[in-house]
Amino acid sequence: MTTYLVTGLVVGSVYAIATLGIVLTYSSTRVFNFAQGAIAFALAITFYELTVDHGWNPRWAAAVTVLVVSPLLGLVLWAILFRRLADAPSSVRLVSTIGLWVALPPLTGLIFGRDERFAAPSAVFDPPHQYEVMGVGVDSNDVAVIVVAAVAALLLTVLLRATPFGLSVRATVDAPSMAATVGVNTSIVSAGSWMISTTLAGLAGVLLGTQRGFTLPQFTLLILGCFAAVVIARMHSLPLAFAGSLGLGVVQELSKSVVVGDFLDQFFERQSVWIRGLPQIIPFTVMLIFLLAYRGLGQERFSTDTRRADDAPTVEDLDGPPLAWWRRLLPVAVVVVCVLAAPLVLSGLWEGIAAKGLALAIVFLSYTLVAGSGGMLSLCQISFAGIAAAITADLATNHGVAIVVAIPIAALVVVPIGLLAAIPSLRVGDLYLALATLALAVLVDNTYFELPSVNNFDQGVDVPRPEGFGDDLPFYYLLVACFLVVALLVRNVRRSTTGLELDAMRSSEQAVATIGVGIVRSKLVVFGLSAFVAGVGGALFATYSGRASPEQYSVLLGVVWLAVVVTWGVRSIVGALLAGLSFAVFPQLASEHLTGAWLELPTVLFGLGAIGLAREPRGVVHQIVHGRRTQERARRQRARLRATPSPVPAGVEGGGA
Amino acid sequence: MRTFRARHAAAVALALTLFVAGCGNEGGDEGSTARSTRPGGGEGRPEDQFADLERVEEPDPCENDTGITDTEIKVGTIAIESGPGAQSFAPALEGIKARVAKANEEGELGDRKISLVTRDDTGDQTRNSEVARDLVEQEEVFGIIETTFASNGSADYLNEQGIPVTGWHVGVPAWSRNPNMFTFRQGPADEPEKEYTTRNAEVLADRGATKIALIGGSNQASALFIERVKKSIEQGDGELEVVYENVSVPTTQTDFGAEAQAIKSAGADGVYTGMDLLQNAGLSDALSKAGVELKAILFPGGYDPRVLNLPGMEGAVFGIEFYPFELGREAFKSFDEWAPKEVVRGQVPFVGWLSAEMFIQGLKEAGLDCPTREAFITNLRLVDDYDGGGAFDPVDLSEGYGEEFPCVYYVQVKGAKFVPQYDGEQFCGDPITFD
Repeated sequence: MTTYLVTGLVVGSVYAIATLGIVLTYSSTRVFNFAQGAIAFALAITFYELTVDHGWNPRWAAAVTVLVVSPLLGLVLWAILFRRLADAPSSVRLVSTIGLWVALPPLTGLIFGRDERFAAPSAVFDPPHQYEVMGVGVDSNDVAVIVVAAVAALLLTVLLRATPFGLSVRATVDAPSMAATVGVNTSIVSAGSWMISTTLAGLAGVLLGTQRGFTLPQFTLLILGCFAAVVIARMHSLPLAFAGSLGLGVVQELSKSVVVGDFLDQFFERQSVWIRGLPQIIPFTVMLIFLLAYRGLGQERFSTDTRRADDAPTVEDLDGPPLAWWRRLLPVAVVVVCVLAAPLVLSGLWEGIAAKGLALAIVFLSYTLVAGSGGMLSLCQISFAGIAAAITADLATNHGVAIVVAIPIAALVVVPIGLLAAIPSLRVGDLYLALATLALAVLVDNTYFELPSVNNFDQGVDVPRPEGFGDDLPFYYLLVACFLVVALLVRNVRRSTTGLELDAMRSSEQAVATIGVGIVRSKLVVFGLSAFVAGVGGALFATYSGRASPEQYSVLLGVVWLAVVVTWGVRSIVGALLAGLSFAVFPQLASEHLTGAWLELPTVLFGLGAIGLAREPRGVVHQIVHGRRTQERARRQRARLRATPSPVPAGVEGGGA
Repeated sequence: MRTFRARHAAAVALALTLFVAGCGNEGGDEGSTARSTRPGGGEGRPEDQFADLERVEEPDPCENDTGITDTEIKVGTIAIESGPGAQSFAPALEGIKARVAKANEEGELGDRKISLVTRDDTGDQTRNSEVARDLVEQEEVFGIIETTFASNGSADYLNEQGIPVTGWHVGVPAWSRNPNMFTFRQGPADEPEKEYTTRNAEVLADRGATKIALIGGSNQASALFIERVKKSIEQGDGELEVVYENVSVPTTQTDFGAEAQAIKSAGADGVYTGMDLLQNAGLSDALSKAGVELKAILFPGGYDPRVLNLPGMEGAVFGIEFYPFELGREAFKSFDEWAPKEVVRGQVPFVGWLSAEMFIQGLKEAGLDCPTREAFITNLRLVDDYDGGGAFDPVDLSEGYGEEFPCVYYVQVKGAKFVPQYDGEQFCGDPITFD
């Protein structure tokens, strides 16, 4: 038992270091850094390269990585990305760091190569001394990790409580606009917080790397664990973050003792998914419980600040006549013609890939429903897609059900799960919903998707195509038709009363409540519908490859999907279509024309696209449709201002943020 | 509102049409050539299907088969070059390229040279099926060399198309169900839940272990693997006993302090793992720190010189499918000579080399004047003394098809070096079926 306690404290200490960074930046800038693990990974690889590949002394390499490279990286990231997020709507803040999470690891692979990385020498004790504490073997590196975490937490607390910078941070946290009025330089606060946060990420990265290896899954696991700790800390309490991280580490390790012991054998078979997955299941169940428990307190503390819908009308939109009908319809028409005529130029393989893209586009339409109507971002749509695919496979293969019947049934089965995911959304903001859906996706990955009947040794279960649609061409047109049906459905929902209610809710939930709209019912309807749509898309995707295999519906892939769909425009049906097609097409193009580490390029681009939202929150499609008009208007406005030299004070003119 | 309802009705009508049209399911054996692949070819186990095979001669007059010209043989490769699996698997492609370079330089294929068309499947089965179609339909390659764990994605399709495939099976059963696929030394067991070999139990016993600890990853494949080892121990002569079994290790865990303590308390003196190399290294380290006295610790893979310097590896035993490099046999000497300096002399790139080597052998069997796909697939299967170009003891490629191959070479880490065991001879067990 004590062994697990000790290893738990060590594991928890590394969590703590990374978590403190997330809490710091969230408190001071209201940006939740989903990319903390990716940043830690990039910095850990930097340390590895310096010490293993360039032969630097590990202590020097660690010092340079943590004290020089890490804060520099933080400054660079602040300058190109985080600075712009200050006034951005919450959905954009959310997605930008998700984009960074997606882009940074493959970018690291591009820069540093993909060689297998074995252990690096420890920066502290190499070789470590062995001690015995309470009958448990402990080495000095483990002790060092705990000490470092405690010192980091202490230093951070001192920084915030006893320095002028800390005072500025606390002022900004409590009342940002007031702090700005009083003369606090919010830029310095923001940049400083980010630099401290990335330094902590670097520290966590170096420690984790030398302790557990330099492979990406380690860092993904780290970050997911950190999210649970941040939730426990209610997003803003450093002491709770520290205690929560340690507690989580200990609980995770203790669960292993339960797993290895005999207690659970009374209820489950040795190979059961509940035993195998317990160390993963526990932290995320804890996270969900805390999220639900906190939901009453979860109203964003800064609800009066910068909470506007990301497509609320701006002054620019009011200027000039509305877009001509043909300008609005033109992109749609172009896309429709391309899609219908495509088989004239495509080979069988590409028809298949396009069909796959259309299936994905259907799943992405579920994002449009949830985000477009409700302003909510869900990270578990991929789980709905996967569950429906698995159920479809089971019905078709093991029970002989016709596929056209199996798919709607499976999609219907997913609806109650979607409603379950809606519960956190009922009271809390974007961020909590994103975290709750993330936790749900991880749980599904570790339970349902690990069942032998579903997983089948990662081979999955067969899914046949409908009779007569086995060949590429008919299958392609089938998917076109399915997409059109679902697109019409989505469009109608958005124009329905429910859709309009949710649209209004994006601007101000309180305002909508005061006019008597049933928020709960609307959100539940939309979530249920989106789960259905995701299920249909997921099952159709499975008919493309002929099997439903859980590895294609993993939570990390779902994060990439979100990045892709918001890049093109999560509120636009055409955006969903282009997102699906690009996701299917880019990897094949890359495989045909790129080699080596450059093959990571598609994922990097998808991540960067999501980051680019800081410029245009409505995505690429909107930019193309409205772009030229906006540019023209901006040019006219600039010309007008240059012509009139009236002493209008800065900050009063113009309408943009 | 009228237009709203009209559009609504159109959508419903469209949906109904699709429903009626597609009410059946695509049959399993329609053999539609343009279809993308489906898994699990239900042909039943090809037990004695090779009994009537006869050598295929070169056609006369010669008409070049797809992918063959008078000067070139186009061969596709499918490897994992990006994504999470790339770190471990990408070096295999270097091995393939090295073997092909040797064949081209030395004119092993007569007047023709092999040109490789490389594709990345990112370790994803759907991508695997897509790049396979790309290679066959767009690039029109003669055959394919595959080193990926997602090979199930294209297995049926490549079989239907009659494409010769050689490569690394990585435990995927398709390699033992599709006779167009060749791997060394033999494919994995076709029905792993039903059978195994006594080899592991015998090796453990031979090294003096009696109480065995088994530890594997939390994924299904690893759990099954441990289950098979456990059954082979329990159904054995009774001298060995499993005292600790853990199949819940998450694939990211590399810290085994707790497990080492538990193994110590159970009194185990032999350990067998079903985890990956980094985890095995972590376990070994933890065991030595916990002061566990072990007679045998066995790893099923990870033969790589970079492992030698990891803490706690002293005494660990590795199983490999080919002659240990330390014996300096022919295949390794060629590999060492032709692989670029920066390619590590380890298991993964060498497996790539062997995959290409097998393909070249298949081309030779098909005939250097007029090779055809059919001749490749038939004649290579008829080879009864294939030795990988001097990489392992000869094996009959049709005997024991679909059964667990019982022989393995072992090396042990001693003084930061790999030392071949059993005088460099392979250690063979007997087949065992489970009750």
